[in-house]
Amino acid sequence: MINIRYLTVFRAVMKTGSVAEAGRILGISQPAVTKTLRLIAHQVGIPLFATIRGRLHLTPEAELLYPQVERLLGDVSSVEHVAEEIAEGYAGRVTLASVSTLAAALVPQAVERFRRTRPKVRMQVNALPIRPVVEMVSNNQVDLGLLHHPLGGPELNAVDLCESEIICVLPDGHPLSTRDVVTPADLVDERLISYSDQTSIGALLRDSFRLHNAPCRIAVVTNHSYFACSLVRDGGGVALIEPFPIMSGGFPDLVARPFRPEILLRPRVILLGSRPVSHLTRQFIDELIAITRDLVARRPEFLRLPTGPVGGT
Amino acid sequence: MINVKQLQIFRAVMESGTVSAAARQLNVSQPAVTKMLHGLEETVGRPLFARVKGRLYPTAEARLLFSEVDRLFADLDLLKSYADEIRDAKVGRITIATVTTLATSLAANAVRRFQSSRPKVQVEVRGLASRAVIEQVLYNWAEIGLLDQPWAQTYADLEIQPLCETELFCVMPKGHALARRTELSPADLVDLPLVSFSEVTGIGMTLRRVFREQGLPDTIAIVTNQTLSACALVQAGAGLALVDPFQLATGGFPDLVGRPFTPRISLNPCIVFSRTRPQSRLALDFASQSAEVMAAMIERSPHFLRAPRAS
Repeated sequence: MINIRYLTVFRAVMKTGSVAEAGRILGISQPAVTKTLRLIAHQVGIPLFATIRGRLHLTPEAELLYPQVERLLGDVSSVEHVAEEIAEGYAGRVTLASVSTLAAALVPQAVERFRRTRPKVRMQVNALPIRPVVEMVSNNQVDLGLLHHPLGGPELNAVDLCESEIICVLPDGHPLSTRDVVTPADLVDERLISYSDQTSIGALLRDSFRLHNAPCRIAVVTNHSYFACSLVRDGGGVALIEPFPIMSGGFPDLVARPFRPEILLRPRVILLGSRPVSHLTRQFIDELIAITRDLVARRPEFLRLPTGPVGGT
Repeated sequence: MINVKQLQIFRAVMESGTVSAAARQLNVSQPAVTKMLHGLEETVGRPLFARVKGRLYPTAEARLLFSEVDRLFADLDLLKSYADEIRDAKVGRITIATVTTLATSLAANAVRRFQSSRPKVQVEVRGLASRAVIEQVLYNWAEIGLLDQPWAQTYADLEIQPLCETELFCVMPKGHALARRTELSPADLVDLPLVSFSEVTGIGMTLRRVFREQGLPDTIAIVTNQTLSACALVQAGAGLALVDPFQLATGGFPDLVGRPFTPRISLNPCIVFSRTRPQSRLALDFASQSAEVMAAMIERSPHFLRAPRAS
């Protein structure tokens, strides 16, 4: 039998990369951490660490096991959540992890409408960068995730909400705001704000400049679309980002123009295939779909209904 | 953290419907089962079962809890079987950095055999120059390196396992006049266009020194960084190549032959590992697979390859 309690020690060592740090976080001694690692290694039948030149090294096998351990500990916290909810008089709960911009642009209205008829249902909204969103869903820590584009492994199912695209965000009155569309050539002399080429959108963007033989000089790289808008507002340049921040109402002095060639995004819900979709989760996704339809109707220049089948979780 | 024992008993009761069946299944006493259930009911603050005529009927709360608990134990079983697969080196990932001539010969064959018994293991092969192979292993970007020379001896952090011994051969078309000779010296090659490695490589440097020492001009007209490309150049009629024999030893280029070159310029292919971190079972298995494949190549091509001397 694998002792689940021990696995939290393993996780702490994997996360911090150090026995001392793990011991400090857990409030136990270093020898206790090492002893626990040894016990787990014995229980799972895999060497988890080796001492080389006096230092403890985690084995490649430990790295392999780690994601499975995270998933199991996710299950444990699910059980604990449900137990807590039962104790408090259960009305249900929907938990989600979303990239920040969708958490600010799509989720609030959906939550509001959802709770209007279900005031006792509790919601947990985690606004996060892309990777942690995928991780939380994969590790069974939340009911659903929200992303801008396909990402994640085969264990995930997706429901497309709409199609959107990268837009060019400008201060009102900027010369380019008179254009119908903005192309890479238009941006040659601008200070550009956009995503890192480490992200898939960032890479697509650089490809698009290359195709147009325009140099892609991004002066400020950020992972945060709202930061990009704030910087445009404060005169820091023009931004190439996804369109949801502009629809949030937080930036009345900014305008947006379509960027061509079009860089397509597919805002979507992701679900863990092996996690049964609760009735409430399904209803919340329906609410998200309805809210997205409203947005599409309001901003047809940046949003379209998905070409594939919608809904049907 | 929630009590896992309690959950285990809760799950057994949910599945069997009676305390006695759950007790039998988990090999504990009935009072122990009842006590654990009470403990869990205390934790969640609600009754989980209604007792009707000796049978237990789950409440709505119990059913709600059960779906989560059931998944927890299902994932625990998965974790165990995955751990077994890890232990038996049936899952995981291995990155092999190799000089290109061993990538297209030894590594290709070794990877095929390795994967046929481990279909779930992801293998990445990076064909690179020697220096980059060493770097990949030193920086832990690759678990295993395959080199044609033990340059790695200069690095204390690398562990070296010799694979075979061989040397530079002169590769030419079957019907070439020189193909009748049993070996060739620089003087035999003086007027011929030659294909070989650049002088910045160890082998290329040694080769040029050999010509120089015999007072002969080196006629290396075509420099390439890959043996495969050198052989293809010979095949296309561009000249004769002075390269390692691995492409021919693998059965590539049936229209070409290799003849020993003297003075011998030896090659000592080897496997390298980092000493600074634990090796995965996968990496060790791949290394022994490579050694086996090399042994078979040596047996098939004794005129090209010899077993390594015991180190």
